[in-house]
Amino acid sequence: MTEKPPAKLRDRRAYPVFYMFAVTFVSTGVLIGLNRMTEDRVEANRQVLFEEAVLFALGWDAEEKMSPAGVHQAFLENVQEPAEESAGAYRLVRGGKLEAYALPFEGRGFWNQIKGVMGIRPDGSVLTGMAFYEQSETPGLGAEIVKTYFTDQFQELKLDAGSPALALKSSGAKSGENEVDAITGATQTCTRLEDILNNALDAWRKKMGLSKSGDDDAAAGKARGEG
Amino acid sequence: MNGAGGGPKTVKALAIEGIWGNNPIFRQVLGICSTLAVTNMVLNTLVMCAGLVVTLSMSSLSISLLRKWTPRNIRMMVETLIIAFYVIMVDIALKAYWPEMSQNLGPYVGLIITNCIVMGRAEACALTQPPFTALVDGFFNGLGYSILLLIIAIPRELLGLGSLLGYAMPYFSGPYWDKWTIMVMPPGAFFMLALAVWAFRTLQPDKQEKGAK
Repeated sequence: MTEKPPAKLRDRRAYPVFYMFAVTFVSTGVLIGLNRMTEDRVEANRQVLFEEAVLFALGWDAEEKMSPAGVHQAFLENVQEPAEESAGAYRLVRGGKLEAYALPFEGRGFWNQIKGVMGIRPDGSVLTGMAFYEQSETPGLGAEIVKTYFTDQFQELKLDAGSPALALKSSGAKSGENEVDAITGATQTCTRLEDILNNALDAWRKKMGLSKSGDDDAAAGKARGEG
Repeated sequence: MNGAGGGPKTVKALAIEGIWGNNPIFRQVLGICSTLAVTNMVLNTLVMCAGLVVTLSMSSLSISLLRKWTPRNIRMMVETLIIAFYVIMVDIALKAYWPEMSQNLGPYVGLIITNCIVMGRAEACALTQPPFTALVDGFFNGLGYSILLLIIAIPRELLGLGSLLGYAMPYFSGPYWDKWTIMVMPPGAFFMLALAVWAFRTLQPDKQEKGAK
């Protein structure tokens, strides 16, 4: 490579085209190979990340950080795949008893999609936890939503029967039982997250027939129930 | 740019030039976008810098190896392709072996492709210099970039979040320190960058006069 290519080759008009083609061919080939080699690993990482989020949202108490294999094992043993009657939510079943639902949700955050899982008690009125497994919010600000000091607030959070079910309030402005502290400096992320969570909750509760939101059907039902 | 022309330089001369004399950030003022974007947490900055050093060294080496075969009129396409090749490799490696960091850095790793320093060194040095010189030049320019980024990142994380590398620091994470959230937000990056460039240019006045000629 330290010598110039022969003049005969270099002077051909098509030389740049062939040259570009060759370089592209080689580098793309190597990248495809690399991608194939790591594909399974990347996919497994993603799967474990999701399973960990489900377990965490369900209030799984692991003494220390579980290994990827441990997460997968615990997930397989305790969590059942979504079914028709759970409206897309995973179910935590222990000793034959349904203990909680884990509802995956996603929506647009400030920069990109935020994907997460929330754990809900069978009656749909209390959360067991919250976890995010995919987000690209601003590091140090919006990305703080993944930190436990934020997500822990959702444990045992009582939801409002109506809509919105929960709210993110700026620090110190919390007034209701269904409110959690938002993150200072991440207003955009928090406002959007609040919508994502409420929309997911409303839709799920409606499908599950647990809805007591302010829309007409539910309000009528509520009125009948009281009358 | 000093890297171009003349005979091959010694490693020492290249090191001094990359880190100090011709530092990519405060001398060449290249790669500012990533300087502003990834410097609010030290760990992210470190990984980003490692990614850049690898990409810059390897792409300079490859471009230099191919320099006599690359037709002049399509050299920029070839450079971009080679840079993208190494960046994607770094990205794949992170995704497979360090998924959490890959999540933290989000799109920034991919954006190394458009980091002006890489293209700048390719044009200024790798295209004309032998492979070893290009490799060393790329490495030290990457290092020069990294050092500046850390100088900017450390105060930002410390003042803004009260931590370093994610560990809470005494005093700064305590009740007596009112965290300067603005430091981890985009404006903080501009303040720190301006201060750093000002400070280093003041320490290095002779260069400025030469540049003005």
